[in-house]
Amino acid sequence: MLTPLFDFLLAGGVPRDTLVTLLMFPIVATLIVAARQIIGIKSFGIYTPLIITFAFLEIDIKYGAAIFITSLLVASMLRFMLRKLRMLYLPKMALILSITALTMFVILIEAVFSARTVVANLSVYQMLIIITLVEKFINVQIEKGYRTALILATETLALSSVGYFIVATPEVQEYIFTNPAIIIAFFFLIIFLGRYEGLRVSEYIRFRKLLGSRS
Amino acid sequence: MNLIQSYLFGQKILGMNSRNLTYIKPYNKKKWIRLVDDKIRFKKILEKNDIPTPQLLGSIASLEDLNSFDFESLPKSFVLKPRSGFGGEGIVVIFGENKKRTSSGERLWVKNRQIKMSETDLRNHIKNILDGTYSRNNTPDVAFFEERIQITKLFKTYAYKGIPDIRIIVFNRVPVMAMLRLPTKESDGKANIHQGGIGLGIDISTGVTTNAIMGNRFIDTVPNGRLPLSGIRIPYWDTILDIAIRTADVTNLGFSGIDIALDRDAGPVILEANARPGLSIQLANMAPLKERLEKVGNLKIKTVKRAIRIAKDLFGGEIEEEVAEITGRTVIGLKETVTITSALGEKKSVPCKVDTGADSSSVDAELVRELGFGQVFSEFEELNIPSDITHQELSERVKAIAGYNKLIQKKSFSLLAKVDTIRAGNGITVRPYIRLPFTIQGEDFTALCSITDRGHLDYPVLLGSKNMRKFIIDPIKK
Repeated sequence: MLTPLFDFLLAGGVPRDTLVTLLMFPIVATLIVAARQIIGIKSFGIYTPLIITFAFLEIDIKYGAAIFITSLLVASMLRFMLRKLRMLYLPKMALILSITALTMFVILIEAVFSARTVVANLSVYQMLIIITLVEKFINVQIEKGYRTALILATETLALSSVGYFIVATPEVQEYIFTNPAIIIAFFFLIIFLGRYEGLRVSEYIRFRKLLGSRS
Repeated sequence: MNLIQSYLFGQKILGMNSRNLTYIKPYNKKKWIRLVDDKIRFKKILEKNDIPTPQLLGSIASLEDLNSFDFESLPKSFVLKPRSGFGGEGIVVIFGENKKRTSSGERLWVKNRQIKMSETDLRNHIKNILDGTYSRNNTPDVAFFEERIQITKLFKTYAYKGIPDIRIIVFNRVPVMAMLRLPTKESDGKANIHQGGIGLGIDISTGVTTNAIMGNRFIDTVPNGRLPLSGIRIPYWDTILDIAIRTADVTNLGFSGIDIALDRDAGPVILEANARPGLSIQLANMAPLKERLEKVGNLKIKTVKRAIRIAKDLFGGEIEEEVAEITGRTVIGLKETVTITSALGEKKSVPCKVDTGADSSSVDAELVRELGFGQVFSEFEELNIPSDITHQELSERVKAIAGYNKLIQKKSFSLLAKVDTIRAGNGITVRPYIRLPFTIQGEDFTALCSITDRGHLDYPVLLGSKNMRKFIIDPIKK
């Protein structure tokens, strides 16, 4: 029933990718919610894995993951180096983010050497979006320590990768495009997950010794 | 344990989903959460209600405040905290002051591990606090100074540097679960579990520690030591429960984690109230929390005293289980119920008095008949023992008794186990004995009981010390 609308938009010059991204959004959101409420994968909230999934879709997961890992490594190193300088939070973050952004030249150089076709796809906005993850990462480092930050970053990368493989599958794209009504089902799924009171898989593991106790 | 059992037991455990949805959302209104997250306002409310808490020494809300703040007014030792900090972040504990000032004439304080902090260092830390480095969502914050709590002697041997604190989960006014948190080397003197502190489960009814966790590991002794962690009796336990409930009351939080420290001089003082208490308290206590919350959710509790009594009745007793685990013996009180299997295989439960002063157990004659063991009386009569014996006849009778018992073996009676003399009142009687299958608190054993007429007593069965092998007697237990 939405097909005429899609046709109209496509005819008007709206790229097909834009429509697909908008339609895929609820699916990725559901994935992240399920990962949190049922399995217990926290990652950096909902915004970060969501936006990174679509950034990966835009610039290919290989470069996406490379940017992801590089920026976190660089930022951690910078934070460690800046420790002695005793700076206030915001200026320190500004410095870390700026230097991290500049290291993206390394990724660009690698891209130029390996395959010229990829370079065109390396949208700078997607790169910057991935870099903004650094702020979350450093915040968690400050509040909960390196270990937690590393776990959450790994979870985010894993979750965004799973999201990417779902979204990037042509069959899935095609299916959503032809059956957009299916999204309603995802809304109900999110509502169900939002009211789920059971233990998460991670909590079954955390409390496994309790499970063995008598009561 | 299979998957289904795990799933069913999982229903008793409080997880994040259920904590947030079933308990925090309906019981902790936003307005009241904001109140306890604001440590200065919270402190003022406690003071107004005469609930003990470390005294506020001053606060700094802005850079102007900081510039006009008189650092000379600070005492030798104090604690600097962010108003909206969480998880113990951003807190600086000053233990003392260096006699010498810095070259620029500033006061020089000593933090833990002998790290020195000058006025400039403090100012920088305060600037970070004001900037919101330690607050939720990094919103601008207020820094404040409060009295430093002095560690009580009892805890000195257990804690590394910092102050241990007691976390009590209060739900619907009832203290449902408690934990003692010890700072360690790993946690850098902080008592928070996720920073490496030790969590000790506490038996609600006695205030005695049960088992201990560090991270997700169970431990028995302090790290690198032999000091056992279970069995520590926390002083002022009833006062602690009392102020925990009263704090939960004044904060209007239905479900909260109240943190209490013991000051060397002031006794129990409230540190903070937490509207989102952590879940590892369940591991420290080896007990699921949701089950307990469900038990008290619908109760209407009018007084603090009643709340304490309910908590002790419902959730005490971990110690007994603990004792049972260590000794392999069950803890029983002085008044128990014994279940006896009758001749027809039916189970009959009767009140039983536990008497450590009596050697052997005894059972009421009428009860023996009811159980269908009446034959023991005819077997006894077959021996034709005279009913009254005087003192003088005793020595002869002892020989005679031995003879009777030989006879019992020869005759192979089915029920009569032996006969023996019993001093009773003014004389001595010979009584028949019977072996009966007893069950007390789930422990099965055969008791050799003398049969007497206990009809006029409240307890048809008396358990003597010969049949107490499987038990440890706690006279206070009801």
